Amino acid sequence: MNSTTKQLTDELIVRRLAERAGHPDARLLGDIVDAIETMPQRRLSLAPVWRTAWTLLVLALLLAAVAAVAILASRPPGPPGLHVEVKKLGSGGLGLSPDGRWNVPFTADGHAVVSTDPDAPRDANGLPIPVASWTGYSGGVAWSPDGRYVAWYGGGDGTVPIYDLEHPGAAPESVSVGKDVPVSNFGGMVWSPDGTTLAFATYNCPEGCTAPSSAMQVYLLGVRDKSIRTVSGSLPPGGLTGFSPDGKYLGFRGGLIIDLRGRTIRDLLPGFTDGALAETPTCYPGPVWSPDGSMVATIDLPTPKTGRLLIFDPGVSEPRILVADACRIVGWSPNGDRIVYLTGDPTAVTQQGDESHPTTGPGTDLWIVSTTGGAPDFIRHLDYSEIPILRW
Amino acid sequence: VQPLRPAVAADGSNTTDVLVEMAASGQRHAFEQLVETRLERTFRTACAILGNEADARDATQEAFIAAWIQLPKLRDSARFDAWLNRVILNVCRDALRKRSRSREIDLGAAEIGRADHQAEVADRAAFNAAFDRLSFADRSILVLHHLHQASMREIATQLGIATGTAKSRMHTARRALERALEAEA
Repeated sequence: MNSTTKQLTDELIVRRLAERAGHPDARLLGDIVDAIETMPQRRLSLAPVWRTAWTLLVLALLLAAVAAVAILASRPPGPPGLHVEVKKLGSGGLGLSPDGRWNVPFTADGHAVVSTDPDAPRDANGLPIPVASWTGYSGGVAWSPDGRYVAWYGGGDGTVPIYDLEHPGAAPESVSVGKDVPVSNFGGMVWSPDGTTLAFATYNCPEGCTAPSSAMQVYLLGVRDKSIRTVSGSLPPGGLTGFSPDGKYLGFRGGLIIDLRGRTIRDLLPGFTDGALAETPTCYPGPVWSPDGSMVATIDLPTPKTGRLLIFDPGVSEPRILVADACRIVGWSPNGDRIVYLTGDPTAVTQQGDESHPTTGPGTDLWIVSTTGGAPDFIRHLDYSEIPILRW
Repeated sequence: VQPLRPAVAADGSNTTDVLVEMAASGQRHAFEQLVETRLERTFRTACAILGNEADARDATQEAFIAAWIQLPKLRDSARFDAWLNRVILNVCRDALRKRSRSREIDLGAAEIGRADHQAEVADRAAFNAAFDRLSFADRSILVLHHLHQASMREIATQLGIATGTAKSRMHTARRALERALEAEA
C-alpha cells in the first residue's frame, strides 16, 4: 500500500466512521436524566474516605508485621547475646556432648553413643546406629572439654573406656581402676578443664553396700599415664559436679569445694547435704564456677525439688541470693554477669542426664538472672527430653 | 468532532473536577451537567463500535447509569473522562458479546438511494460490513484514533496499555480493516 492510498484510506476511515457514528437524538439526554432521577438518592459517600483509611491501616499493619518479623529474624532466640539451641532427644540419655553432636542414650542392656544429626544412619526401627555401645552397669558419663572424647565408669570390673569421636566406631582406649577402687555405687565422673584428668567418686564400701550409709571417696585418674590418686576418703553422700576453671578445685553436691592442692574441703552450705534430705533430690545444685573462676553458684536444697540460687565470692563470707526457686544451674554467661537455670519439678523425668546437660522433664522452664540482682527473665519452656545448649 | 477539554473556572479551579466531586457526593444536577457535555462523544463512540443507533442509545444510557453508580469509587476526579471512556467501551464490549450470541439481521442492504449515490451507498455499506467483521479491540482503537482524533498516548492511557502496545494494536486493526474491506469488495 503506497502513501497516497494510505492517506486516502485514513480519510476514508475518518469519514465512514463519522457517518457510522451518527448523533444522539434529543430525547437521549432526557432519558438518562430521568433514569438517574428515578434511582434512589445516593447519600454522601464516605467510601473513598473509608477506603483510604482502611488501606492505610492495612499498610500500617503490614509494615508492622514485616518489621516485627525482621526484628525477630535478626534476633537469636533467647535473651540478648544468648542463643538457646534445643535438642529433642526422644530416648533421653546419660549425657549430651558439649557441642550437642552426640548423645549417650540408654539401651535395653546398657547405653550407647549416637549422633544427634537427624540425617545420621538409622536402623530398621528408625533409631540412630550407635558408634559405640556398652553392655551392663555403668555410670558417670563424662565428655572431654573439647567434646572429642567420652568416658564412663564401667563398673563391674572397674573399666573406664575412653572413646575418640573423631574416629566414630573405633575401639575405645580402656583404663582399669577396678583393683584400686570400690566398684559399686558410683558418684559421677567429670573431666578436668585441661583434658588430662578424670575425677570420679564412689562409695567407699564393698559392693552391695547401701548409700548413704557410707562415706564417698574421690579419685583422680590420669588420662595419659593412667595413674590413679585418692583425693578424699570421707565425703557425705552426693557426687562430683565439676572442676573449677583452673582445675585446682572440685565441686561436690551439697555446696562442697575440694581443694585439690591441699586436699581440704570448704563447705558453702553447712547443714545441707543430699543425705540430709528425706528423699533423693531431683535437682542438681552445683556448685558451678563462673568462667573466670572468681565466683561460685550453688543451690541449697531445703526440699528435694527446689531451693535458693546463691552465688559466692570467695572474699565475702555471705552469699548473694539471686532467686528462691531454682532447681538446676545450666551455666554462666562468658563474662559472669548472668546465670541460666531451670525451675520446675523434674520428678517425672525417668532418665536423667548428666550434670551439665540435664534431661528435662514436664514443667521445666529455662530462666536467666543477672548476678547483680533484679528479676529473672523467662527464656522458654522445655518439654520432656529437650536439652538446652547455650551459645553466647 | 470536538475533543473534550476540561474547563477552568474563574477562580482557577477545574470545573470538571468540581462537578465530578459534587456528583460523587450524590448531587444529581452536577452529574447531569457532566452527562450533557459528554453525551455526544459517548454516543458516537458507542454507535461507531456497535454500528446501529438503537444499540448505541441503550449502551450510552447504560454507561451513564453505571457511571453514576460507580462514581464514588473513582479515586482521581481528574481522570473522569478517561474513566468514562472505559465505561462506555466496556458496555460496548458486553453488547457485542450479547449480540454474538443472537442472530442479527442486517437491514443495511435494503437501503435505497438515488442513482447517483448508489456507489457512495455501496461503499458505505461495504465499510460498515467490513467494520462489523472486526473484533471489539480493533473497533475501539480505530474509533478512538479516527473518530475522536486521540493520539497514541491518549489511547494508551484510556485503554490502560503501553504506548508501544497501542501503536502495535493500531497497526493490527488497520490491517484487519483492510482485509475486511477486501473481503467485502
